[in-house]
Amino acid sequence: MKRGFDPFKFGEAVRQVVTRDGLSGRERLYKPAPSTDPRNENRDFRVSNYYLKTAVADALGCNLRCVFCWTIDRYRDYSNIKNVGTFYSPVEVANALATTARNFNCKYLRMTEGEPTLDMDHLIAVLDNLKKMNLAYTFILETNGLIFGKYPNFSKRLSQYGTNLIGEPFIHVRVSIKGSTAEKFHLLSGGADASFYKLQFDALSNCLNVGLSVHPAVMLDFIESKEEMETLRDSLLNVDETMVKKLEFERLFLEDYVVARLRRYGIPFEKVLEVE
Amino acid sequence: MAETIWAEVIKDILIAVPTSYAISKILDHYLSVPLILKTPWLKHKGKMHEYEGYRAIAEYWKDLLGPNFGMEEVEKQSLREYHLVTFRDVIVTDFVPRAPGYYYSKELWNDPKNALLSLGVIRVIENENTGPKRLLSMNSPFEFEAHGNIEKGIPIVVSREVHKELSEGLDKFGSVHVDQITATMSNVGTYSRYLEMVGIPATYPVVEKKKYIKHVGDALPLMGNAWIVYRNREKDGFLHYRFWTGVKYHSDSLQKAKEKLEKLIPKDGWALTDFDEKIRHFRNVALPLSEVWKYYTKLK
Repeated sequence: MKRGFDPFKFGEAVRQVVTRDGLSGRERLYKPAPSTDPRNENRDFRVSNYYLKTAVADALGCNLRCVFCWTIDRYRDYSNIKNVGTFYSPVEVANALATTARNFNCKYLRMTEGEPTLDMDHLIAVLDNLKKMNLAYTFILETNGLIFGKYPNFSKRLSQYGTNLIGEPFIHVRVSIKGSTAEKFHLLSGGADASFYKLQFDALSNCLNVGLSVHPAVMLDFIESKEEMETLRDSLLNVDETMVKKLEFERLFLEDYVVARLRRYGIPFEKVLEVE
Repeated sequence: MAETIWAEVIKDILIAVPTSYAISKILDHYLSVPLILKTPWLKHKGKMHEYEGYRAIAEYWKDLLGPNFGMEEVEKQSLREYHLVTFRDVIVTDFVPRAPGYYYSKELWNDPKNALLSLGVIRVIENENTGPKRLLSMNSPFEFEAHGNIEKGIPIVVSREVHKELSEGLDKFGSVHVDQITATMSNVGTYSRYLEMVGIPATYPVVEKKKYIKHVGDALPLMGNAWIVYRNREKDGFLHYRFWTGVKYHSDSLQKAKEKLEKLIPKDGWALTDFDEKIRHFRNVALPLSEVWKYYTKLK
């Protein structure tokens, strides 16, 4: 088993930087929306094209350092991150998400970029505020699953939100599994200890056990053999058969900074044709 | 004359490239396009199937590929030739998955490395081989598993009449939102020998009359993967880069994808082939998609 950093210790250090106590609850740093889309000009909360259209909050800070992550390096540099993000209270985040969703006719709300569960108090407060609004949106929680896996009570707490105004799940959890094996997890996560890989599958189990809507996702580009696929399938089957059928294969986004990172870590992103 | 030049080009490549045998293999594996010329206009008989909203795309593939797709051997296909299919609330684009059904097949689990090389989208235009038929694809951005990824979509063959109904939106925005499409399942002809080999059926929905398409609405976002096969001294390589269609704010996204791919090709390499017959994105491509039809027909 590959030894590496402890994502919980690292995550706690990051949490201290990207969150703070505010007058109306725990505040968290958020990234301004990219200026490439005019819909999102001068906004910190954006509309995205995924899942048709989603209102997105880009929370900064993560307990992993994935080499293929589409977050640019400026937002992964925790020594300077306070200068590039803005702190928002839970009520501000909830209001901004709801407003963005209403303005752009979105079906889903989403928290992404960093790890949303890094500060559970902040996340729960955002969700509490959204729940009070009694809206018709589903909140897609994109997570690496480590915190879900370690703290089963967290899933239980989230399951209490039940359904939204139109009877669909209030929360849908998408566990983005880093790599098809523990060794790949170590490599792709930027050096996290391979022993933490299992927590991602525990996250799926914990969600299923309390009836939370959940599906796993994995980056197809880094699965190199049938054996790796089988390992992944067995791990998912150990959780539940439905998790295999619901597995979402993600694709790598070859942004310049991602390519540079992959090259730095010696991870090939171009595929060599082996035609027999 | 053009054909003579083309034959010369192929000959030059075959001589110049040490592992030139790979080119014909690449053609078979990665470049063939469905022979939609062969598609008959069938009258439906047998079962009727309806697909709507969340998981419409996944459900379709499950029916076509068998109930335990992604896990076990195909036990029973419930969707077959001559069956009638109705799709509601789908997005149509002229980009088509290059390996339809692969995402939902057992083969993906058996051979993920080859799977990657089979993914990406293609765009083919009407030409002497297609006759009056056009190849489009249906997609759903509502699904967690698909959410607008064209590679996971469903190819659909339409008549010139149906295409005309959709073409304004397709040309302007790249995608159109359709309330309802009713089609008959027909054997379109396989995309490649590879798909045939791994047992993915070449049966797709075919729509002859425009009355079978109801309400063509706004464009909606879809994500495609542009791709390129390149060659340098040591190897044949494959690269892909995403682009958006159906979103006016990302109208330049295909151009950006092309630029990105050009930049990623190694300095001593050159492009062997690309993905788009409508627009030629790369200069000096040895085997552009627009020429594949001719070459393929010649081979046959």
